[in-house]
Amino acid sequence: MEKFNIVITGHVDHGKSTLTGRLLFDTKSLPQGRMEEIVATCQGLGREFEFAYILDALFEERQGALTMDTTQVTFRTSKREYVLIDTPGHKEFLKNMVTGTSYAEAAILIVSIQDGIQEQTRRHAYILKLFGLKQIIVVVNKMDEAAYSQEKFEFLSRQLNELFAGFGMRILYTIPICARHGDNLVSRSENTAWYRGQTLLGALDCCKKQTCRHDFRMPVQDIYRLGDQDIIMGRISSGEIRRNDTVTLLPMHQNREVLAIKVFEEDRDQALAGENIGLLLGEGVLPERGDVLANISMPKVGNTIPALVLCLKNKLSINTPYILQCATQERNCKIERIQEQINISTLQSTSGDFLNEADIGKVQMIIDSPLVYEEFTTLSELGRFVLRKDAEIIGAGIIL
Amino acid sequence: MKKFAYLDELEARSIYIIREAYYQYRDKLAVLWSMGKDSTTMVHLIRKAFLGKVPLAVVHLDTSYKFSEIYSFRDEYAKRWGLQLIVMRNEQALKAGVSADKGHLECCTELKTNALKQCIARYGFQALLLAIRRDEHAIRAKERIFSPRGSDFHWDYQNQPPELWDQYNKTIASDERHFRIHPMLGWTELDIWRYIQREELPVVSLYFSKNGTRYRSIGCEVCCSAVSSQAGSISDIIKELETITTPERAGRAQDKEQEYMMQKLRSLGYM
Repeated sequence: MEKFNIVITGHVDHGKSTLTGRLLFDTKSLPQGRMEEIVATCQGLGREFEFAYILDALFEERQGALTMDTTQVTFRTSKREYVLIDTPGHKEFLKNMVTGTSYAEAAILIVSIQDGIQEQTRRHAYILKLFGLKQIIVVVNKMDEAAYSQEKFEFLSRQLNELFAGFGMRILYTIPICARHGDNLVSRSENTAWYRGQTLLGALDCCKKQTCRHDFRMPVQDIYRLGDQDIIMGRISSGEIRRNDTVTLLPMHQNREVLAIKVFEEDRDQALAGENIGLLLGEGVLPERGDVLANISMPKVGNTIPALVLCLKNKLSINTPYILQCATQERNCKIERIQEQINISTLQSTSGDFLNEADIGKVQMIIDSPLVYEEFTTLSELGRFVLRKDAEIIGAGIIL
Repeated sequence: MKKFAYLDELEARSIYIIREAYYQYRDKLAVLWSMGKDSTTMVHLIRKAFLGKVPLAVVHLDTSYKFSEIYSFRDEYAKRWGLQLIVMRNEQALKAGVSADKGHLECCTELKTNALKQCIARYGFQALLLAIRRDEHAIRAKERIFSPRGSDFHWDYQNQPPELWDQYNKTIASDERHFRIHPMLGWTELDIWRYIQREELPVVSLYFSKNGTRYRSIGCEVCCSAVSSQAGSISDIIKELETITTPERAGRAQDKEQEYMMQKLRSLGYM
């Protein structure tokens, strides 16, 4: 059964974990005995029944009534199996939200009808754009607290449409829900008789798998010695490869013939995007990890790249040495300048010499030796990167 | 053209992670093999990743309390697949009489976690491949793929590093730290069985129904209880799992006993 990854984002306390827990309950995906366990736990803590505890399994999360780390759970519909990625809404757990989002193929953004658009609503919306998520479902939660008012829902819907339009994005569906009571999740609710759109499950089933059509690209992952042969290992990012094709090894621009394609214990005539393969190449310099094989069109090769960068920890400053990881490439780099710093609250851009944690900036990167890359919108795998300081990932970015 | 089925996608993702782990750690990488369905699937994925070979050490943390079927399965396939098998027992704890009837937390910690500590100390492993899955337990659902363990095996679950796309964390070399690497986090119990069926992998016979019961999860004999089932073949098991809703590890003592048992065990370094 096809798997489909959905991330649930939104401001703290707008109901992400409650929604996830309720969806598991309504789709009968909870293992037997789990509800009874949660009921007992809630009674033990002297609290009302809480769907969020299905996800918030850490003792500390229940004590503090907040999600700290991202969780993945699954449920099935007749169409496919969904992997729901729950994420924390607190700014201080942004790295965990981003971790969850990086796996997603579509996103649910949750907004409470009473609170409306808040700082993390804006930030998460922008991060969805940054990560290239185009299929976005907005759920307006806690409709019960607003007496299921159509007027209030439509008012907030307009504001949300404007917010996304400001980022150059479009919302696929906006759905009025009450996660706690299950309104409009699996079946249409009588409480919102005025609403004629999709239920959340219906909207999810309308999302499509995104496919990337592009020429052959394969970042070299490793070199294995098999008998007296060196086999070039890697996963095909896009396109396909056949035996006897000529591929170009980048960044050195050398043409090489494909003598054999190895998968497990067999030799293949052909391999496709997504497959992990081994290649035996004709005579020439032995490639290294980080080189990229390509054919037909060529990716870009360069030292100066324009990018959007999100700071995940402490601070990202100009002229400070970082390590950039893009596919299997690892390079020393610096941020040469920050052209625009995007203020999430006001959406105004300012300039400066550094980005604080959770800030996003449009920057110019300088790499110490040529990087093989594509624009993120062309081929995500060669168009996205992380920035490291020593062993720690402190930033993430996409190439413009 | 071959259709890229979802099992191929799962397999591809796992193989990529296994190759990343091997690139970073080479002979400092080992895989934990309990002979259960998940880690046996992992050994198969490793064979696929390395074009038919297993270039890393395969570690069995032997509590001495396993089912006899598990030991014979281990010996047969270790030989058939040419595995570099390391059998690790915490002899000191066994001599002191540690066993499940004196407390699960102590028994699991001594015979598994501490046996693993001894193994790492003896062989200098810096990273371990583990076949845990998110759908097994709400705590495991919070794991990273490359998950650092601090000194004394501590899992700092309140402060896990970010992990984006296929960019995994790097280790800082230190005697006291190691990485747990989880290539199969995204698989479900059903995925495992469908894959075992497709790849025609061998499994321990305890998984199949005998006299109306079978084991869904296997480990130490005293701590596993059989579930009522008529499933006598892999396709029966798949059919059964498509309809039932009892949790997979319902028969495993260390998962229950009290709330947060798993969190406590794991923060002490349990798998």
